[in-house]
Amino acid sequence: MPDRRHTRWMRIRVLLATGFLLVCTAVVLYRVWNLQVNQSSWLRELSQGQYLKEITLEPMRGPIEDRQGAPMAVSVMTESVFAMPGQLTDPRLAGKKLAQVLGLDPKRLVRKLSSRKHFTWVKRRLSTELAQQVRDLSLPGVHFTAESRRFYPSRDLASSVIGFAGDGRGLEGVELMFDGELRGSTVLAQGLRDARGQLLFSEGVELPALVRGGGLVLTLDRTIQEIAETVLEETVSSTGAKAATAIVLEPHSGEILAMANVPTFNPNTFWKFTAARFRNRAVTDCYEPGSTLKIFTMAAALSAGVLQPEDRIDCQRGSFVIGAHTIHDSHRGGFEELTPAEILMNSSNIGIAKIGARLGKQALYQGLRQFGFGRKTGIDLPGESRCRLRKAERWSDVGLATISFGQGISITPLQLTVAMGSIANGGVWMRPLVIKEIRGPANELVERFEPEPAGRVVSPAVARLLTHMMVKVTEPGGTGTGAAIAGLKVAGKTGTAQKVDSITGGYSKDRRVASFVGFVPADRPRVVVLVVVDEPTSSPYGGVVAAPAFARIADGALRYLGVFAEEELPRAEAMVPAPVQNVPPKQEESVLAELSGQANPSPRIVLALERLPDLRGLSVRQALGRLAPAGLEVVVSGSGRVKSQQPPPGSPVARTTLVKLGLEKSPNAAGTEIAVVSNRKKKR
Amino acid sequence: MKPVQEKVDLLDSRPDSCGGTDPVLLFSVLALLAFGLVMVYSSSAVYAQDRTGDALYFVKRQFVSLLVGLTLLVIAFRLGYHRLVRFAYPLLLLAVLLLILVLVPGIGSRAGGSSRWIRFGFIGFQPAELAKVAFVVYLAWSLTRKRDRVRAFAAGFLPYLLVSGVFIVLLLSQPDFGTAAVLTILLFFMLFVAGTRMVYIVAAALVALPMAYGLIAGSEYRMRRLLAFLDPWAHRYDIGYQISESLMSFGSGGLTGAGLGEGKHKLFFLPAAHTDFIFSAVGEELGMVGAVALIALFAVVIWRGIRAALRAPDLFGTYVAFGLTMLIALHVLINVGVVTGLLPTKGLTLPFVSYGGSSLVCTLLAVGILLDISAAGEKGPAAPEVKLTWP
Repeated sequence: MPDRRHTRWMRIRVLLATGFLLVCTAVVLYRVWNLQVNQSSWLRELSQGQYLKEITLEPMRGPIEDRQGAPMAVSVMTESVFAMPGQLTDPRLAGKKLAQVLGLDPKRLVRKLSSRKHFTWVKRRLSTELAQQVRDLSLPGVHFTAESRRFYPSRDLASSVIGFAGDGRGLEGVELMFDGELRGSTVLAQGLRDARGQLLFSEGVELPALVRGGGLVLTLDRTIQEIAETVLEETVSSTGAKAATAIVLEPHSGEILAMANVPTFNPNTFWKFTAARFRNRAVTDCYEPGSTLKIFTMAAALSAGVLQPEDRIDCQRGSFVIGAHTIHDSHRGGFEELTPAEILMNSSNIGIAKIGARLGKQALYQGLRQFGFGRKTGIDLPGESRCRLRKAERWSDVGLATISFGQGISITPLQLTVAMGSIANGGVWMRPLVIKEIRGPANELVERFEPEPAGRVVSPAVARLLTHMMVKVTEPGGTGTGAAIAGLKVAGKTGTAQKVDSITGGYSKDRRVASFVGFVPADRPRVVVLVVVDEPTSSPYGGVVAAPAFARIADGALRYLGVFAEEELPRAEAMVPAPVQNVPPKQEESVLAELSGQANPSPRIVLALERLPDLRGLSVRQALGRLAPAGLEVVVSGSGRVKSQQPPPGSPVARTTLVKLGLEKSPNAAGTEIAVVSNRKKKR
Repeated sequence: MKPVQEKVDLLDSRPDSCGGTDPVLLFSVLALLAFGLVMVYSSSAVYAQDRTGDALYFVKRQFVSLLVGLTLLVIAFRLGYHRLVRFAYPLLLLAVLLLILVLVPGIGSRAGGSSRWIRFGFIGFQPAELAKVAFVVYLAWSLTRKRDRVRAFAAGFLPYLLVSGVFIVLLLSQPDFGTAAVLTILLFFMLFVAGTRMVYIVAAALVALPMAYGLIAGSEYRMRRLLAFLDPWAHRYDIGYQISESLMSFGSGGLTGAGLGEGKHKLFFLPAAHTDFIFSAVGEELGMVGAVALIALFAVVIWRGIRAALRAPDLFGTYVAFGLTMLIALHVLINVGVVTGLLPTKGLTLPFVSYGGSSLVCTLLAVGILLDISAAGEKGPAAPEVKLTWP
């Protein structure tokens, strides 16, 4: 039996020990309170600093559309595969499997996956299908992330204007110029990460998709652009030229409807092209304009009052000596006396040189300057050149003469188009526009570019006078008859310039630039068109090489715009506009096909048809779509698919051709035509 | 047969009363166990998923240990604490033997720079956990036998110093400084309760403290732990990483916590979030409310343990109950102290809650013994004239 005293003291000691525990507990509780209440906020801050990571979400690049809303550049979400080599259990096996699915070089991939790197891309921007195939491999250490990819549904169409974006950044063209708007503002989001630095988004795809960049609406019209490019391509191939440029401008607004350069590039695979292809030669390249500049010398002289329309100028029978130099006219035998209109019509160098001499160096310089030569037009495109218009003080006497007819001055195709546009616009110079609207991320309007008159260059009377003169150029007897369009008055001027030989410094004998600039209809101009053909080999003359291209582009554009010759108008007004066919943006699958070069070329719209296509078996809608840009009148009878057509397939197409389409089901008892449909659009 | 004779003399000989289990103790422990499973899941799921592909990996293992532990609890309760007398010395020998075995390469498995486990296939066992219980039982029985002689230096002090010295040397060889410290403190408390002269205890402490410092200073990893403890933020990215992560985690819980399962530090930031630092996860996810509630639950367990010690029908019961309760209490205090940065990192589990089979099984065995002592105490003390009971 334990004795009482012992037991009693023992109990007291047990309680003392318990008391010690209580004291310790009190200390612990104080500490808990101190940490979780007093120090809680800064400890939380410290710990959030570890696991919260600010992630910059790159917005999905905004779309670029043409003036009709047709997509020119779109962004599609794709998935990218990356690997964290440290997490791979078997890099060799993983590499082989991945290489097989993705069509990569197994050796290189295995080497990449065996490296000591923390992170390595396997393949970027896959289609969802392919990404799923990779996911099905369920390889540890292989991860996915969403990335948007830029896609240009109409490929090389207007590519030199639109440019392209790579890795989320605009690199050329409008994509570069409006990179900020298109890219949008990056969004900061907080993501969770673990101690190994890994982001813990469960899927990661949803978040970035919420953010979008702004959009752009171009002044370009897909159809007119298509017309211009097709004509240019044909011109280049038929004339054996090195390159060609065309611009279509709406004179009263300054809006560029088309800006085409050949050869061009496919922005979807821009890395396959040399950088020289990316240049938008219409704004970056300088050339000596030659005779097209005569218009502006003439304009300056008429404005200054040193020249009257009825003046007669002695053209020295084709040979005019200024100091040590002799100026020739290309016309055999030259001319005796010519009126100003005849000087333009025959493109007499001597005549215009004399007019230039009347003006004097300073006045000619000022006149050309006013038309915008020697300075930038201020178009919203990157890399615009101002080219060379030397100060009048530095001109020699012969310089004055040659500049009068476009030698010793260099210009961009755009400067010339805009200058011509000011005459078409009754004498008011408009800043050229390539962007119509800037849209916000939700497609809301942010900014609209209104026409921007930048001052009067010549009086309306002078503009009218010049127009009259230029109409004569395309009329029988002029140098630009190739530019004539049946039923419409065309005002324009040819240009045939020798190129400056960069080696000798003099003019090259065989390398020329053939051009034609003009507007139509002359009395109420709807479009100004410039065609510049660089080094044609078939013929050097603008009247031969560039004028027909001008006519085809202008004709196509006008038909599309619903402008018809007088005699056609009554019929045209009765017509219903045909549905506009927009090519829907392609989906990811075709992006891949595009990249691998397996895609079928996008169907080009039938343009300025030489021969009527076979429309049988098509739906009415399809048939009208095929005929749309050619502006042919279509009469449809019956219902269902096209069964017969008149004229038959392969028939040559003239401007006034009426296409009759007979459909599967015969028309009503009366046998009358149920519908008269045309693709001609009413004037906008 | 001297021991048997002793047993008859020293132990209360009245028959056991059945059914007098302490429900407060039992349910507190069960509540802690359930809470432990939840917290182990919350703090280990991500890690387990990453390591094994099964988010429930640790929970499943913990549950198996729990079942084994509860079985042992029931067996210990059914056998009665008197039968422990027979096991006191064999258990001590077994513990020493296992502590030697764990040091033998090939038998003991090394993990994190120390060999603490003996592995049988996929089951591991930590002899140190058993050693603690064995040490308490041995001390209790030995002190009971010596009764008044404990005041004598040669009989009541020296032998215990020698026995615990063996344990401490073996434990430090693993090395397991935490368990060695727990045993040392436990020894002093039990000697104090048994009535050893304070002079001896104080003198021993005065000798032990410089020795402990020598041990710390002599071992690079212990010194680093001490430095990290003294200024965790200065060593935040190296030696103080675990403790500063623990402080951030615990402190960021605030008053009510981030919510169960919402803790962020288990995302590989806080090492051992489901074992030694589980209290940190509790603090982060349940806040001060949860942390204090958990401490209160432990306080209930300890209160009932002390109560059992005070009401035990014999001295042996008192010693065993006190020793085991103290063992649990020390574990809780040291673990919480480490997590909250009051003490240097020790590697001790939070009883019932931390993931760890050996610790759980041995603690539940201890609870089984406690429950039996408590049940025996329901008969009332063997010496009814002593009125001092608590509470």
